[in-house]
Amino acid sequence: MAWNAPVPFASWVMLSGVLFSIGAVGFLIRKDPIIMFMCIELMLNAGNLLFIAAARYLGIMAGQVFVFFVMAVAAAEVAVGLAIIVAIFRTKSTIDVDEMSGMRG
Amino acid sequence: MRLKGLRMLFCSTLVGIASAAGHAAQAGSSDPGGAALVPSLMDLLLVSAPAAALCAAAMVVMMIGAFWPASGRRALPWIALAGIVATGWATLAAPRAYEGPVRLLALDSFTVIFSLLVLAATAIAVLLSVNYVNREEMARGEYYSLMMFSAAGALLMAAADDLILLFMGLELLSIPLYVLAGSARGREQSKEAALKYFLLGAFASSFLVFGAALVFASVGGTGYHQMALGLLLLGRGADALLAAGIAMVLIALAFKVALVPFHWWTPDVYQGAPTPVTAFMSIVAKAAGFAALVRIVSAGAHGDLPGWNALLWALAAATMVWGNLLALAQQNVKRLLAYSSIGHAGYLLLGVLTGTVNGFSALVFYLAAYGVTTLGAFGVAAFLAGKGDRIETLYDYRGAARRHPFVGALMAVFLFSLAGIPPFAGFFAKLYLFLAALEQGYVGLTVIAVLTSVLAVYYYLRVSVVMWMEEPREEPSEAPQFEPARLSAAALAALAFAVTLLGIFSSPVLRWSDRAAIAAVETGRGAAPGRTGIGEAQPSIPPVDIPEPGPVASVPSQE
Repeated sequence: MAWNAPVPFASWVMLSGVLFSIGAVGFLIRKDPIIMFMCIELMLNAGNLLFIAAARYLGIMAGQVFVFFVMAVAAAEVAVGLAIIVAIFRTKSTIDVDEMSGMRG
Repeated sequence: MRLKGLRMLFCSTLVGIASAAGHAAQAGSSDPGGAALVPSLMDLLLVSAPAAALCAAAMVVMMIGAFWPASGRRALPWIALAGIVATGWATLAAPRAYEGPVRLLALDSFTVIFSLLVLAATAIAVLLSVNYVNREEMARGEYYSLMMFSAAGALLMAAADDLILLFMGLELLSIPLYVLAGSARGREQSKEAALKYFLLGAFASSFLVFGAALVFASVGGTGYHQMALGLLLLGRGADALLAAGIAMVLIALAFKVALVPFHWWTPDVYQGAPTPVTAFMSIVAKAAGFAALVRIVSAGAHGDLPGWNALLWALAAATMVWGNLLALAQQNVKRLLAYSSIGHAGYLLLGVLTGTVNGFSALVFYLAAYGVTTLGAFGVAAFLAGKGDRIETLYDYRGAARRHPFVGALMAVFLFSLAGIPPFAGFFAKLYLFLAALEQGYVGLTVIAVLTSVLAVYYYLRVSVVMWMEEPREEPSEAPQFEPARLSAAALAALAFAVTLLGIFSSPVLRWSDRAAIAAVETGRGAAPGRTGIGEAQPSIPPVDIPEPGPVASVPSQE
């Protein structure tokens, strides 16, 4: 394969699938909300990557527009999420999710 | 005097927004033929008018909350209600004018009826919030405006005909809810609920994004109709990318409506969130999620993927059994109602599984009945909770009905309806849903549904028994005061009346839910052009009798 040959589409799908899986597994095994949130961002961006690759591959630019929507929404989510984390840290002085056990049953 | 002037100004702004939406609706009607392939800007404005009006009203409420002196904030809930009513009017006015094709948003009777359901639930949640918010000193403008933003997201989800728009609606629904869940800032549990809801909600929506990306990669679009068409062209579920994408969309929606095994967040969030917020999300988030599921199924966007029905069957069975079993063991009333809401999500999934007009119609009716009932039950919980939400276990509820016989009676009505005891709405809702499932031959699942709802009678009645039969607690110190909670009591009485009325005179609401279901199926079919033309593909929606519009159908013969 020539050095400048286009990357086949299947590779993009695989790359984004692997990124998504890393994010999902990370979300499930980590205990720190900030790391968990980074994992969510990784999952969202795996979706974005796939959108862009597919838009390029199929020649349908709508996919690239969707990425802007997703990025804008993710930014709004970050704002709310970090505010919640800060509010919890102020009273508990920890944000470990294992400490979030005020409710049982 | 200046205050009065400002109030007039804001109210007239609201009316102006609403009438602009209405005028847009009427103006759009002039050009029905022009909207052939590409929707014009006018069409887009028209179809999004209700959600836009609600968002505009929410912004007005937020600004008032920020800039008015504290004394003026008593008017906030009423301004919010005015905005909701204006949105209802815009909802009714918009589709009368719109005849364009389905693009992004479908503006049919299903959208209208679901929007009215969501708006009514929001209005009631606002009414139930007033006393609570004042008691807990959360009386800031953002509370009501966040509720309205969230409802706008639900409106978009019910109308969405495209995965990206579904994602936008879902986020507009969820992000305000994360904040609302944590809005009782004094309570540790509330913040904990907010964090859990936020993390799991964001996790779920990333599944939706990746699912949409997979769908886009395999069919080149994210519209439900494109999904259906793509499935036809690719052969039945032949494409692994598409199947994975649709499965991920289903997972995201299952999180939102709390189906087992995607339900872990529900009990903690429902318990920790301020009770009126719990009431709001238990109906609005569920209704929006199920509306989206109905849209997807009726467009045939799930195709005839092998295993789809088996998957929904398993989800429904697991949700009904697990939700109701765990509710048996609960001591906290809010937690008990949370598990019961999981069980109800299982029943509602029956309606989606049938995929017929009857099933969808029963689902809409069930949502209406469940909505008034659950708003009432959580409303009573908010009423009895006392300052700081301290009274919420069954132990604390002992004898509560003796001290407040009126509220005890109302709670009994709501619990009986949730349990599905005959004269009330819950019974008929369950009946129609189970009949629709039997019609499609889901006998085993219906048996599970009936058995679990018998099981549920036990824990619902236990709450009522504890409230009526046991001796009251010794110290009546935290007795809720009737005086300031008069508005809540009135709203609860109206809800109990509605629960009874829906049970006894259900036919008008049934007619509406039939119309909504027929519209959903028709839009779904229209959204998949040619799907009946290809012999290979089995339509997943069995043919139904849609009443023919008589005079339009008959072509006048020219002799």
